[in-house]
Amino acid sequence: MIKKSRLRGPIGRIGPYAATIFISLGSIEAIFTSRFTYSALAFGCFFIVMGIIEFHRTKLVTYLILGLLFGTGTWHSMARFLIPWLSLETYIPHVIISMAALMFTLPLLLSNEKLESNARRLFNLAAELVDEASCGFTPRPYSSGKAEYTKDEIRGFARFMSGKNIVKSLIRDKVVTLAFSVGISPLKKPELRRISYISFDIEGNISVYISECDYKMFKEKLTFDQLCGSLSDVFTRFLEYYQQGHENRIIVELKSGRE
Amino acid sequence: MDLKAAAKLGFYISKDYAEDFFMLLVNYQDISASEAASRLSLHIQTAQDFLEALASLDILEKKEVYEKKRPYFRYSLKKKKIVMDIDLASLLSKKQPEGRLSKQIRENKDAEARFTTARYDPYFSSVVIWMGKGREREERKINLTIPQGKFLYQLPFPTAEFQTISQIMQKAGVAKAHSREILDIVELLEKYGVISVK
Repeated sequence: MIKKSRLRGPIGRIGPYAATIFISLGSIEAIFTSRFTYSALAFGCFFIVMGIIEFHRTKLVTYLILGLLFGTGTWHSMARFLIPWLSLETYIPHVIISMAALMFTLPLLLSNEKLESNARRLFNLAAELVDEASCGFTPRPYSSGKAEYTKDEIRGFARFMSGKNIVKSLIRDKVVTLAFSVGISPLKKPELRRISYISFDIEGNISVYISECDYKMFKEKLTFDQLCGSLSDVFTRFLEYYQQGHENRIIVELKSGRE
Repeated sequence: MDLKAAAKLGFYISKDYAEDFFMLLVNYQDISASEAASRLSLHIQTAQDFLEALASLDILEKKEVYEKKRPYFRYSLKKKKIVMDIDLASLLSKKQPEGRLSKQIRENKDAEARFTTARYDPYFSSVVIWMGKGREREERKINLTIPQGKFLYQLPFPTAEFQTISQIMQKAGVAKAHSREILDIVELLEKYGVISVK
């Protein structure tokens, strides 16, 4: 049986479909008018709107800058036929700047995409065992009990999880926090209450917090305490794999979760 | 002395003319309100209130005398030492906590409250409650003691099973000695609809 994701899909997924639609529209327009001016203008608008939406969602300004550069670049490609002072000489620097911006920000974008996709997998893994949907959301951490680990073990685990772009770890003297979110990017270092996290303190206490924004991404209003408990179980299991030296199992299990 | 009497005494003792007034009372055999007022350059009503308050606290003796046919009061000190002795134990809640610790509770669904976590430790430092709607909406912030914060951190979620207060206290590692302050916050949050009781 193919498991369905229990989360709403990310808006970025419409990108390839939108590109196909605009290229098709451009081809049709080119057949009739020998240019694809209006399709290019519409495609440019699409880039800008996507940049604004992604910026609003992730709070990463990179999306906004790239959206504006690519959107205006697409306009520029066609506008040079309409506006006299725009030409190939002005268009080429625009393309170079856009490509340079993309090259510089690509590692950040890829890291954010990986973090988001892994956060989706984590939430789906946690939601697998939750059947009830009686909501009960509350914006406070869920105390999910205790686990046994040493300070070095938990710090090593946090570094491993962060290194694999599964979470963004915050290592402090008394507590280690693993942050993740399908909304606001943890790379933005937002206030902790705005994203989801699991924290492990030096006495072995585990607390899970699911932000309202992440909880709203679920298609159903899953029973909140069960979801928090299940998420805690996922991380406790990952910690045990790490303690036993089976880090690869973490990756295998994570990949079994739907995006 | 109960707290109300102590508050009354404290109020009059803290007046800036109190020392001069007591000096008169110690040095004079007895004195009337008008005599004291003229001596201390006070309004007669102010002097009258001061003397009446001390008389009601059993510090002064009040005697009715007549000047021709007009009656008035003369005041004299009953004691030369005032001892303020307040028994705070009398404020201890009369309800015994033991029976109330078996109350089963959990967080209310859609409770309009925001809990703020202490910086690094697993307990809450405060809870903010919103009351009313629209423009009338008000927020009330309650700073929590550490035992209260630890207790509320373990409070069952709205969809979780109810638990008794003593079970939650045990889970949170809160000693029985803190029962009264835990019950106090539980009753307050119950009143504001943050906690539901089975």
